[in-house]
Amino acid sequence: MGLKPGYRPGRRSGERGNPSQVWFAVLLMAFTLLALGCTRRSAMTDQAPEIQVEVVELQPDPPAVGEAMLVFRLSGPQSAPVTGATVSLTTDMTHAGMVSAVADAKDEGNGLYRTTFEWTMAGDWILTVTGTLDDGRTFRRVLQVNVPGEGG
Amino acid sequence: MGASPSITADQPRPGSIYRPPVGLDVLHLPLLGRLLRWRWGRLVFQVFFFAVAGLVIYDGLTGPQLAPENSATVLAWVHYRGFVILALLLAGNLFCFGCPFTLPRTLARRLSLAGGRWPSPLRNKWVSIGGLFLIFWLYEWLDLWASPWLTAWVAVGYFLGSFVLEALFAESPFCKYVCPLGAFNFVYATASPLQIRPREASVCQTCVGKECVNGSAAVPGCGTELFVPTIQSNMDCTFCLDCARACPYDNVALSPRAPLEELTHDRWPARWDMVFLVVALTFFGISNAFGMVSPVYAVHTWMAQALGLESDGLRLLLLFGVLNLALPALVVFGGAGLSRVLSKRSDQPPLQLASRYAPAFVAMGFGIWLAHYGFHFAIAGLTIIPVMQSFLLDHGLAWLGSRPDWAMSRLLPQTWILPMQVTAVLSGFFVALYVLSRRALRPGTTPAIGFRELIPWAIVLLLITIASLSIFNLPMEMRGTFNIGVR
Repeated sequence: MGLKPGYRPGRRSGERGNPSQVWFAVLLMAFTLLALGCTRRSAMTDQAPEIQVEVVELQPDPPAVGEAMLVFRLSGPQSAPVTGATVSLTTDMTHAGMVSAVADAKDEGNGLYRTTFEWTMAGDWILTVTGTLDDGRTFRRVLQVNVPGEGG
Repeated sequence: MGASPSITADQPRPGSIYRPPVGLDVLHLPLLGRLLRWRWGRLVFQVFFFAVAGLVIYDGLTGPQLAPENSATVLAWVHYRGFVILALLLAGNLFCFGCPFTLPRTLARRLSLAGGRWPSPLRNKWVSIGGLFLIFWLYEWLDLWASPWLTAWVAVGYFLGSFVLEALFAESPFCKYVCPLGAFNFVYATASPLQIRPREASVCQTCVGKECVNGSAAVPGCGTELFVPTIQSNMDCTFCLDCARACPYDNVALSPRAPLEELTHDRWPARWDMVFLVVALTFFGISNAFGMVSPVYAVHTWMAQALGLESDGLRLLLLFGVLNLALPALVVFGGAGLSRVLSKRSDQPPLQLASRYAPAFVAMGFGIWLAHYGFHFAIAGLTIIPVMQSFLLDHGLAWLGSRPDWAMSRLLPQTWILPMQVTAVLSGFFVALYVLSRRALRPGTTPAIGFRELIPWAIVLLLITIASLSIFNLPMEMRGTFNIGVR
């Protein structure tokens, strides 16, 4: 078997370059990422900071694995009920890699919204209420719920 | 660079090992083979994984801190782990091949400070075992799986660790002696179907330059200092293919081997660190899954009440110390001792017995990790789609749609998952029994003695199987994360 084309004998080299170029590249990358991060919409101001989400009813209570029903109230300044919003609920566990679900919430008037979903397992859950107000502004609020398991 | 890589006297001479003719050679497949052998072939994959790692760090530090909605946690704890275990099962150590953490090596070499050799007392797997213990403890204690921010810092830590060690030492000690991910991949790559080997042993016999390990002018030699004609194991092989690129005779192949060849043949190194690493990783698999079911909270409560341990970190340190260090040690030493007693052959050193039967734990551990990592990948493999939709929308880009579809999650129906987990664990168990029996039935030993030798190991494997199936059959319960700033 002969030498393959283009082969050049020798040992691996220990060439050294200009360290300042390396640090410049690292710093440039860090600043670029920092600048990009500041432009993220999630890092910007909430479009509707006055909106409050208050849990009115959560069944079963205490929460248990299985079907669940949530009623929550949307309110604005001076606790005025917010109606006519398009609202959905996303259910996640705190662990990446679990089943997520999305359910639309029904406007029942007087700022009350109702939705059903499923607790698929015990543990810490994040309920994300996402909505669009009738003036087009969006909001997002997060609720934390613990679903007790067999250990209580 | 420092001293030359090791071709030491205790290694077999290249021509002394019988090797069957190489059949299929991945490096000579159309297109793929050409890409892999290309000088920058590895770089293509590394750049991809580097971009993924960059995304993990960027999104983890600046994105939403809800783990299922952040690419840092989803990519690291769902997709990376699923990819790794499937790649090891189907091909080999593909993550180390595309490892992004070693990409800044070239920069590190340019900044090379000393170029010394990794200290002799640390030239083993004990540092890796310590690293594995640390990362699994931190994972549970700090709920890394629930924190994109901390996950990003873990990735930064890997980059820094690799970079600093590369700058300080002439070889690549990070991969071979330090990296916990590498240790995991090395162990389970011993069960993988592909291995580096020479195409023709006679070519290596007459080779003068040994470029596969020494390197050529254009291409470095093996970073972990493996010498192709003597490679009998995937242990310490990062699949970087530098050997193939450096070989002036194009005599390096990446080819399939007989199933379980490495685990069943008597080539396992007789080293306590290797034995302990393999056995401990199986227990890491159990404790990692145990952290996700409700009995773990009962154990925490008991430890707090009975031992007065108020700190989560301390309780987990004790729990993991028992499960991941003390139990494996008991299995290794107890198994070797019982084997010796049962076989009535007191002339056999405990290390010889332990290293003979430890490879069975590769199969057992593989089954447990496949069941665990496969669960997350199967149940949330599609989560990356809404996560990337959300990520792009967060930057004002609607390339993947105007609204993330958070309902996308499962890769496989949920009803399939438990049967698949049970299959994985049972397969691991039965393959482990097969490995035990193949290693017990060897020349110079009667079947009866071999059978008596393997009994303690088979019992331990059975107990591990029962424990694993019990854990996977329990309803999962993820708690204790609301104190770390999840919003």
